[in-house]
Amino acid sequence: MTAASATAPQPAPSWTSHPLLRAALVLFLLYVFLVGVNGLGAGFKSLGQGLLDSFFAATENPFMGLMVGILATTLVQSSSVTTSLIVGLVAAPENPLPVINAVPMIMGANIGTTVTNTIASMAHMGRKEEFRRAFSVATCHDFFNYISVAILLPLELLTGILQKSASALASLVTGVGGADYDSPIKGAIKAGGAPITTVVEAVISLPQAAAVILIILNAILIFVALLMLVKVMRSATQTRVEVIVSRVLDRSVLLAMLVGVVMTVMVQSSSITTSLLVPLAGAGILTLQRAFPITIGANIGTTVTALLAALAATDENAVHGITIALVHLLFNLSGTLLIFPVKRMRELPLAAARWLADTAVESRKLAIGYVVMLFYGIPALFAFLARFLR
Amino acid sequence: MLRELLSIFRSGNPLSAMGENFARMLKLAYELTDKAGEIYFGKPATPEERTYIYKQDVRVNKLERKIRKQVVAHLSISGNTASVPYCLFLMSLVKDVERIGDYAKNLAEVVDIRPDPLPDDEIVAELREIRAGVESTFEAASEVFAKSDHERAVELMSQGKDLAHRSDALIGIIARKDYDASTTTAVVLGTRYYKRIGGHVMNILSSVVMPLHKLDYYDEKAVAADEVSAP
Repeated sequence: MTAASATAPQPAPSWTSHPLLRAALVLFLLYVFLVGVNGLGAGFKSLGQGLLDSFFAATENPFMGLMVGILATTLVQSSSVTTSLIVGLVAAPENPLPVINAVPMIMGANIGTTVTNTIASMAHMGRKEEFRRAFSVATCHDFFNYISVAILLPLELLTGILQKSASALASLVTGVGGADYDSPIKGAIKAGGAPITTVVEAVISLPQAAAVILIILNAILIFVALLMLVKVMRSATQTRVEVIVSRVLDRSVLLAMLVGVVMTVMVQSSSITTSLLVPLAGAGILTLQRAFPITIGANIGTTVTALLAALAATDENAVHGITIALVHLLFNLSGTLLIFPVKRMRELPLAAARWLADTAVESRKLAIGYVVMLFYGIPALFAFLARFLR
Repeated sequence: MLRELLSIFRSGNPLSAMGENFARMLKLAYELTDKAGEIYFGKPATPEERTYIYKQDVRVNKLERKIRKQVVAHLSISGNTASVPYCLFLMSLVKDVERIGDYAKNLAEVVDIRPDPLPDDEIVAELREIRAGVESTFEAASEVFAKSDHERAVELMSQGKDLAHRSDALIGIIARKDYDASTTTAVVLGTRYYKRIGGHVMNILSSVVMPLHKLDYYDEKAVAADEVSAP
């Protein structure tokens, strides 16, 4: 670098830098995402009730549902994909996944999504103090979700409070008095999915095989659309993120939380938001106390994807799709209200994260073991056992 | 709250923000050097003026930490590899400006060792000329850096080199002079501080003409032959 480049370099423009083009691309990807969610329901409808009942029988056990939610999310590294799939399944015409079974899965997805920033923190393993800071910031998200689930899952099983509240809210949204809910973009979504269904059904004559292919294709649509959406939104917000985070450092906790919500809604991924905090924490710019409200905000912000996915539901079970999306929102809001306002409660996930980070710094194998066992090993083991114990 | 939230999301380019902070840091350090020079050369300083020197130095130090924080935050976010050289430049240059602040503060403190005015002779006259040269180079440095003005940077660095030689020569002359201990100390320290301030200004200017790995190592011949990126 010499004379010409001594001044601040400007980021190279890409074709997605133009705001109008970017907005059009985001709208298109959202459309593809909704087509995928809607098509998923259609695929399950074609699969037949008998097959669906046996396929989702395991989720009748709430603990298994929780494990399936964790495992599915850790495998795709995105709670948005898992929750969208869950919304699609709940809202599908044959109702393959009842709301009551989906609630623990949603909670599991919430836990599973925390694996991404925990893995990101491992990049700092080479330097003890950096790793301690990064790992504690990453795992405060894990502990927050463990505590939320430990309180809210038994409460939900005993009272069904989340589901009842979500149902009440869903009926408010979709019209009181049992009026049929009509998705505002129903026609456009159905028109987008029709060519895929027509081609698959024309090529594969066996109805159940065609249904499986439809399910796979629509799951791929959801996955790819979300992946690209996150990529586009991230590139749009990247230059701002560091300024946003550094500006929020000396502001109020509530503002930090709101920033977490808005950032996550913008990038459509809590993993992106929380993973961005990890290197900043590792570098010592962000403290655990400051990162925590942003993380909690990201936890709330991520529920917008399921709410978007619920827009795609167009059939008779559409209201169930909205209900489970609202369960996701209410679960995260309740967790926040239970843990965050009371200092002693708020200190629990932070103290646990600090303790785990201190331990992980002394034994890095333990850090790896924690990720492998809690996010993959234990859920996989229970899923495996469930097959034989059924 | 909403207004505050919106202001956070209406953030500008982080690299420009770093550049602006660096320009502010240079301006503060220049003003500090100028004021410290006045005190050193005998202008009676009020307690407020002495406090101003310390406060200004604290502001310079705070900006150094702020820029470093911005650099680390910027580089921690993946995908910022294109701005690595600029960030590393700033990381090094803020240290130079911070050192200038410290030397200027020390310059103002020399009156505590020798409260009487400096002698009115050829040595102090030469030191006044060195001061004028260092300050004019420093004043121009901010603009030269901001505009990446290669030609002007080379010209100013040549002047800076000459000032450094004159400072070294002046030390030799002072050594042979029959000043008392406190006068010798005051004049030697002043000469030394101006040489160091000039040296750090040269480092800032060298960032305009030298590649990152050669920062602080100004090679006039290489610059003239346009071979600055050689290993």
